[in-house]
Amino acid sequence: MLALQDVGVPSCTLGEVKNRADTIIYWGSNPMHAHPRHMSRYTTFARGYFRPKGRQDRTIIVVDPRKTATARLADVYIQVRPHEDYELISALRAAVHGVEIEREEVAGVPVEKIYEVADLLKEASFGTLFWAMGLTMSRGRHRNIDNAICLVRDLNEHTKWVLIMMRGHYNVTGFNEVLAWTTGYPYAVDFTRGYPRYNPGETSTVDLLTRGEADAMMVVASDPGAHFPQKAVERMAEIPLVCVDPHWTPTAELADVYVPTAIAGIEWEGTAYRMDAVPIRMRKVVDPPEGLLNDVEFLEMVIEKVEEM
Amino acid sequence: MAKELLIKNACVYDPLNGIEGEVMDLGVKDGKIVDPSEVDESKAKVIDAEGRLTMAGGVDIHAHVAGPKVNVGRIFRPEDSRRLQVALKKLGPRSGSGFSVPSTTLTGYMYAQMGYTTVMEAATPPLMTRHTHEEIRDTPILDQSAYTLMGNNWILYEYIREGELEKAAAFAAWLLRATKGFVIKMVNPGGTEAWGWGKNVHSLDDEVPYFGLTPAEIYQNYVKINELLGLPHSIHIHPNLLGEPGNYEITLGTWDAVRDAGVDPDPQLGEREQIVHSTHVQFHAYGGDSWATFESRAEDIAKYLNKHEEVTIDLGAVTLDETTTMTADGPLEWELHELTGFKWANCDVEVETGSGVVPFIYSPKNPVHSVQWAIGLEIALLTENPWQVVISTDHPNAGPFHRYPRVIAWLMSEPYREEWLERVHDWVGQRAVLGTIDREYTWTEVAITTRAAPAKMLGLSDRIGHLGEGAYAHIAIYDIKPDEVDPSRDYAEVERALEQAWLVVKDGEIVVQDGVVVNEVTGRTYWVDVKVPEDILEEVKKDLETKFRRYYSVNLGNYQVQDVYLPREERIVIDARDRF
Ligand SMILES: [Zn+2]
Repeated sequence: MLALQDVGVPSCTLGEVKNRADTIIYWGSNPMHAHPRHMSRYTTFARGYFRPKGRQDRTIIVVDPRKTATARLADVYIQVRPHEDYELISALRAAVHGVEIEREEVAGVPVEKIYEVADLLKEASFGTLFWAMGLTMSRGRHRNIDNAICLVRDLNEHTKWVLIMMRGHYNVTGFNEVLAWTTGYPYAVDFTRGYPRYNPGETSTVDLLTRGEADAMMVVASDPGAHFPQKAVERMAEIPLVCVDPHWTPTAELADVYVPTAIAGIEWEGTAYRMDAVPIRMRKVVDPPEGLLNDVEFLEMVIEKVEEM
Repeated sequence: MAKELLIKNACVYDPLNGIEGEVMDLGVKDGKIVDPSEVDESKAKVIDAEGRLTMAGGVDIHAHVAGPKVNVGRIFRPEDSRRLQVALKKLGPRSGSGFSVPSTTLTGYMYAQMGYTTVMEAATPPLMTRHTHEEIRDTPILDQSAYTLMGNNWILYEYIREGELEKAAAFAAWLLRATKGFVIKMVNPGGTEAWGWGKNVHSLDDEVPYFGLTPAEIYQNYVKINELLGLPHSIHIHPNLLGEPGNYEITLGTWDAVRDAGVDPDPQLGEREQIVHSTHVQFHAYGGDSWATFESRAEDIAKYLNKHEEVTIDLGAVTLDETTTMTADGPLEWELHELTGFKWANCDVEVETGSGVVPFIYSPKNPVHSVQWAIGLEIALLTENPWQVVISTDHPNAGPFHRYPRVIAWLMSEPYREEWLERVHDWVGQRAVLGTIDREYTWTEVAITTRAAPAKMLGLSDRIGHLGEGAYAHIAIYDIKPDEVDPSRDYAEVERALEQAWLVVKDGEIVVQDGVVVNEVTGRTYWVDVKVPEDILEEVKKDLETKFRRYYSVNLGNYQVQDVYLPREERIVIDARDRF
């Protein structure tokens, strides 16, 4: 998100990849494991309008320190040294620009190979870079993404390239979208002054918890208890905590009050935004167990009570 | 809340009913305008307007206020949101933020504050239209609709290439229903598809890669489709080569190409006279062959319009602000990014369209921006018939919508323009003609170009854009008395009054008082439900089953926007079955 706000992002919907992409990079991302249907539905194996032969019509490049299941499928596998993604992206950018790299290897990759790959990228008629947590979690964090976006942007001076972030958590995109159109900001919104304010580093949930500022917490359909830093989780344990979630999670474990809710897309309908921001209608397939509310019903009841106070 | 209103002593400008500044009473009952004699004064809320300027609620025919690319603007420009952060109860009950891409609540509030009650979202990518409707639903007060992007749609291209115009028309009707859309919108036809390969089209006769069609052919088929279906609005076009020096030629060529299709306006609803609405024409009125030789061609554009009433426009007037550009014209946004070095967001949408978003700073010190500023106003002032013109800034592309009061004040006052001519770059003196124009808009012309004309162009002048009996009671009263104020001299007064309406009525309810939103009503969403011959539709549906499986990443069954996304739909049923 911060990278996007720094340098923007050239992207597309997944069907564009399916129809057009002849070159695909998975960087720090292992869809074979994390998104099992992704490669057959939308990318690598999918047959598309301009890619009728599917896999045969596409060149797959995987960049990862580990030889993952996805890497084993690749036409080109680049084993980057852990935490040196930034250097490798920079070298690729230099190679794309035709600048001479005065070293034998960068990030564990021989320079000749970097030039070869740069040519592959420039020769693509439509390229897509998928990146995932692997790249955000390695040293450099959002600056890695800045640099990756710049690589894709630079490539557009030669041909067509786009980038899609592989987001793991269900409908996290939808949360960012809704918050942005209702408040103007995608996350970390603070309302204490009566207007929406956004200052990551100060107003994010983790910031508020670690500074000990938050003195109560309600979590809806999320599991910070499993993902937040130790110090934030410790604070969660100290303060009144309400967890609203269809599933029993580590957050629910910590909670003073746990409210089970119906599962959207199975027991209740709604909208979910795909990783490429395409909004999908989630249908109700079965009735929820008797007495179980969905989260909208529950929150509306809470609002009603708050307004009575 | 009183169901009846009686507004006394309103100084009414209502061009659709031939009323020019007459002080009169207005009756409101059950959300509609009625004869004042029908209002029971003892039960009604009575308001004395004391001779204040009164018009129908404003109608914005083209703005980007809801949907995926608008939200990309919000997400990737926190700096824009920080420029305007509005607290609870300041403009209305809720808070919001955003200067050029306001949050949905703030969008509703700021339009209502200016007395606008209808705002059309100018471009929705069909695949993502559920998102657009989610934002429309969350935008208070305003009546809205979404214009369905069709100008780069593969399925339409394929039908047209095969010579299947009727199937193409049936598919367009299907797509309007699937997206709950109101208008056939075309953006850089062929060019956005070419952008799928990082390319563009550069003339009306350039072939779109792999599709064997040219922009000229695309326009001609689409205008035929539009009139075959008899839609309330005409095709709504954003021509090729937006923003490029010398593009006035392709603009005029485009209008010629559309006219060459040989169709007349044939709406099933409304009284529009145009066969094409060409949007944000300021961006399409450039001379020269490079930025160094850039100049205004507003005179050529206006001369054409003065000869051809079948073409209408909105301005896309530059307001010289820092703003956010956003369009389905993918290649154009790349060009802007290359030109400015500012951050660039792009989202190509499978089978249908693309989009880009880039921040932009229009500066009065910049020679090109200054000439652009002049061009928008020149077109408004040189086009003789105001019924062909709508005031717009292509919000937020040429400037934010909340600058409309300033644009209107510029048009009403030569001295105000003079004041700005001093501030802008002197290219305006050499490469534009604004300084030589002395025309000043009258209140009637303001009422035409901000309400009456757009309502008529949209085919909705039976219900909006005027204050005749039976019209929706959308009323804007401004704190300015036309018989006491000379807009030419008192332009500051005009601008201030138009920024903050004294009273706004929406569907018979008071929503704004003294410039503050006091009541949030739910707006309606217009869409057209076009009935086409059953046999042709069945064939199209059969084709779609195959095409969706082959081209899309979603299932056909998941594509159509469900009714639940439109809490207050206004379905306009058009029966085109006998027209095929
Ligand atoms: Zn526009």
